[in-house]
Amino acid sequence: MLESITIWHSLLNGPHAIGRMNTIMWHVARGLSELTGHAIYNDMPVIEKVPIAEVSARAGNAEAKTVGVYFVLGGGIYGQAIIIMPVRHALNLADLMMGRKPGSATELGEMERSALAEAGNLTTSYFLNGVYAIKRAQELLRPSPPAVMVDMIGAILDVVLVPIAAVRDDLVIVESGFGDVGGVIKGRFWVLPDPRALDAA
Amino acid sequence: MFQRTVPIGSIVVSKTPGDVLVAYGLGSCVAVCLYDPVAKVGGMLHALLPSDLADHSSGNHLSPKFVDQGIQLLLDELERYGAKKRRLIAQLCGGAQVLQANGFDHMNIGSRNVDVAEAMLSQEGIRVAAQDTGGSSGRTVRLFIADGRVVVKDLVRGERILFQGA
Repeated sequence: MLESITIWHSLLNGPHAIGRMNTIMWHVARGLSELTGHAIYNDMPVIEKVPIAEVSARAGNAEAKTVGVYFVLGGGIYGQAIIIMPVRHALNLADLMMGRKPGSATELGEMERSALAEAGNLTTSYFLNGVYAIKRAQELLRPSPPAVMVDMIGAILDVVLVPIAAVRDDLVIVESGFGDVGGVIKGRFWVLPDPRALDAA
Repeated sequence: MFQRTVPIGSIVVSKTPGDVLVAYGLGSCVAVCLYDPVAKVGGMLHALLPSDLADHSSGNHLSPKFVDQGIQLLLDELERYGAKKRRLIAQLCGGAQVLQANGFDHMNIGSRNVDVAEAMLSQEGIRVAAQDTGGSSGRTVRLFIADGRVVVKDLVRGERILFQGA
């Protein structure tokens, strides 16, 4: 537990925090590129403290139908991670994962959900591998099984906010957008560190 | 009409007839709408958690992110705007379980939020005239201050009137 706080604290603070996160997110994007056979890039990450009341507004139109692939991070580091994508882009990602032409899928069936869960698995695993490479945690870092949700983005974000709101009125979001040049894939990867790391800051 | 957003962990009260109070994208969160049809004053709570387990004996402030404390705060604010508790009509929305994957069942906060809201309102002697709670879909809820009408929208059933108002 103490290790989790220490790792987050050292990752998110100091003059090189954004650079460290960018290195990790670059590996995440490269992993997605290899998985899909499609060049996917990451935006420069942002690390920001956000009041809970403003999280939905930050995510965009709270009523917009959205796909969220959610994980709890465990092992030597506690936190949450979620991939947020508009439905059309999520379908395109599922198409690429299954070797189909983007635009083929018209609805999110079992196969598409499974493909997105796998994309989420890989994304989160690459993130944790990147953390491990920098911080050399004592314990194995591991994500929970993925949970794929399709709903209004505000409703999806309730899932993320509940564990944090019990102890705090704000949270830190590490956000990196990802996408391709052609606009086929577009989404956001949020990592929400252990809220106790904020108290230690 | 002026749409006033009720963010997570907030209450908004109004007696301006043109106001519409809106809580967007409720998942496990619960929205408690209270309306006094005589004073034409209404308010909405958008709460995230059922109750606060922390010890407040040292005098910490109540927070509208908790259902139980939020209802108390909403009642206080409505009375400050001229509403009378005995005339208040309530509607409840939200409390869904959006996350239904294996291993996450313990996080069914939604139904606990609804349970606490129902218990609190009953304890205060306030009638719940309509509710749209539970299930697995997110909702947006609107309270029209002009007449107390409540409209609910989700991605499966679309928009519908939950309570016709005065």
